[in-house]
Amino acid sequence: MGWDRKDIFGIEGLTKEELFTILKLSKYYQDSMKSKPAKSFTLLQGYTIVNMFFEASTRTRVSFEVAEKRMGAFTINFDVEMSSVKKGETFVDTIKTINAMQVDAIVIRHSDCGIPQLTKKYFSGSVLNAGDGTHEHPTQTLLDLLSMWEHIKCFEDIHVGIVGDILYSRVARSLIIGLKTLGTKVSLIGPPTLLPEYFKDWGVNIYYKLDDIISELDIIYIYRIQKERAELLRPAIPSIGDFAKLYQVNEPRIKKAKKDVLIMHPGPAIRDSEVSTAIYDSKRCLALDQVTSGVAVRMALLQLLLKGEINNA
Amino acid sequence: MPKILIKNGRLIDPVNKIDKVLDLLIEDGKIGKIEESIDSEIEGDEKVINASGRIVTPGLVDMHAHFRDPGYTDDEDLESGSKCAAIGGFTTVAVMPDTNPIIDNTVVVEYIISKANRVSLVNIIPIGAISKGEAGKELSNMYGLYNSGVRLFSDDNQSIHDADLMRIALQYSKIMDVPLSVHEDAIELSGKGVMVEGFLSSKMGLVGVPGSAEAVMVARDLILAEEVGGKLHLNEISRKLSLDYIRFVKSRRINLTVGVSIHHLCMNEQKVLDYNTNGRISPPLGSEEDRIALLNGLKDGTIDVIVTSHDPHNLTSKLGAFNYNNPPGMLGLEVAFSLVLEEIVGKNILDLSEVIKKMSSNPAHLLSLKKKGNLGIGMDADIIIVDTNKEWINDISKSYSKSRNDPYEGKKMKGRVEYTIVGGNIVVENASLVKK
Repeated sequence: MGWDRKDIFGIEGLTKEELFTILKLSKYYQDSMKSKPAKSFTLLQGYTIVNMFFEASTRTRVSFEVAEKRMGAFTINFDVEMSSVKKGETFVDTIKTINAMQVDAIVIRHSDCGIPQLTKKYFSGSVLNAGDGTHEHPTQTLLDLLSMWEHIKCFEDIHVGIVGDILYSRVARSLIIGLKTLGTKVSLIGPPTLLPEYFKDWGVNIYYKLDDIISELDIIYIYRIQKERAELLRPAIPSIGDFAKLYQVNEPRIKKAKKDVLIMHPGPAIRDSEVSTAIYDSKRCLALDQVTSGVAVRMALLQLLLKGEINNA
Repeated sequence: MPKILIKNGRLIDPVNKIDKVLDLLIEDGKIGKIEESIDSEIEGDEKVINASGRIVTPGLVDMHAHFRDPGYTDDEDLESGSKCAAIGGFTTVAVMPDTNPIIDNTVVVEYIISKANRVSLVNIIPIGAISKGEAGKELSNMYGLYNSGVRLFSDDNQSIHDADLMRIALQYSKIMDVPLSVHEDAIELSGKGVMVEGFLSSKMGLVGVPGSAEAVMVARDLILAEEVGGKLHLNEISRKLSLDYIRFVKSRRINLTVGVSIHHLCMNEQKVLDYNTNGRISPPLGSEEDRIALLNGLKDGTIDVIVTSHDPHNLTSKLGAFNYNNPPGMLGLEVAFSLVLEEIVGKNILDLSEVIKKMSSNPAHLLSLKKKGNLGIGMDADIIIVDTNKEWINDISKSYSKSRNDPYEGKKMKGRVEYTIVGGNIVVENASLVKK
């Protein structure tokens, strides 16, 4: 079965086979980055890709741009601040305008959930979700899975704990779906105000204290509390200090964990908030590996969506 | 005014306990005669309608619709809204006060009544705001509004957050002895929610509204109404938790009636899966468990009234993302009765007589319409004739609304209003508007 998707709205709906197709191709591109300078390709020469970031982003935006350029594509960064959006143009009209320019792909980040689906209604090229509200962030999950895959043998044998404000995290949401698709045991850890009971319907365990489950985890996935979602967040935790007491990954706490436990963090990290500096800078923390993987999975994904599966090796 | 003789129809009138094939004669805009067989006049201009195989019922009465006139006539106006009503078999529509200006003064009431007299195909009853500007701060001049024709008060989609104001409103309403129709939503709990809270909202990443947001306000108002009296009408109940509380206090002395919208009876949260903004409504569509609880509430009599919640929003305003800023609301007048026939009667939740009670007799009674809602001799000749087997497809391009926010677009329907007669005038014939 060949690859036939043109868009990626989320991890939801991707099969195990599709995930491995992406991961395997990502590994190929990951290896290509080991030479100096990193190898460039011409596969997407002639393709035009517009990056539309309606929300702040450093790593995702830069990572997409690096990936697009290394694949030989022509890329344009749509500047929301300098665009007609600021003149009152509706989102739909902005997309229609881009569509009229015969663009091949849109990479989009936006604070509203479902924006990639809406974009697709008015755009005939490929749509890549670079994060939609509190819904999904599929390329983050793909790079997380790639980083994990480099350190483990089999997704079915590990137990991953995701710690944080699960309710408002698109990163957590996509990761849960991805890991469950691959057969991984997943536990969610956070305060009940940000981790309602119905999250159990994802087929995961939920814990309110990290200490209750830390000894069983192979990977601890942490991320910062998202203050930019404060509009949605009523005061669901009394303070970052109280949060840190329960959930911060630090040296005393890591002593209770498995000896070879890995720490993952999508960044940006707030040192000494969700993670202590010592742990964040330690070898067991894969944060920078994840960044490298980000470029590789985005190269792979662009290839698959625009060119399909071809024999790269 | 020519006489109209409706022959061989199955007359359904829950108030007068009629469910039988009979002939009905309309004279001078009133119901003149109902007999086994009425012979048509040999001479004269009497119109005869053969209703054989059809049902003949009192015209439907909607207690909850938004016509947006004055102020927001890009969405709808009294004329276009009344056309939707007529096509859907509604002969009387109570219009919500969320106009601009808001219906909190007699000038707006008089404007609506006089414009409706000129342009509307159906009877229009303005609903007065409970609070000035629907701001929830101080009472509107309720007695003045009542004197100019208002028979129901509501701050429509705004909950009255101030418990003391709600208590005062209930007390003051006793002067007029008319119901307060309230939308129950504790905004501290519903926040920026756009759908019900649960697994699906977590999956879609959307902010969820917990069941408590409605139930907390329901409980509060039940307590207030028990304490001070007044007629409390819960206009659009959507959650199981609320119904459980309503049943819990049933034996207590509370003058309570309960409404539900056709949308919450026919759809659940799954409708918003594709982020289609036409699936957004306030209160949001419930879970399947909520929907089943509402159906049970209809069955056991906890729910008295079915409304359309007809809430037009023009194409531009509905364009865009499924978020809090996208105005909630759906069209409903044109399709409500067909939906009820299929989803409520067709699935044996209620029989036709019970449906007519909840869509005509009960709302007419709550709106103090003494001459409507039944087929008694001398009543206003507001009558519909319905082919309950007629199949058709809901095509939004044929809607009479100025808006297009219809969640039932493309749906196969069963049952259609063939005739709508308002005060003895035929306004819909063969499911089409009568050209003047």
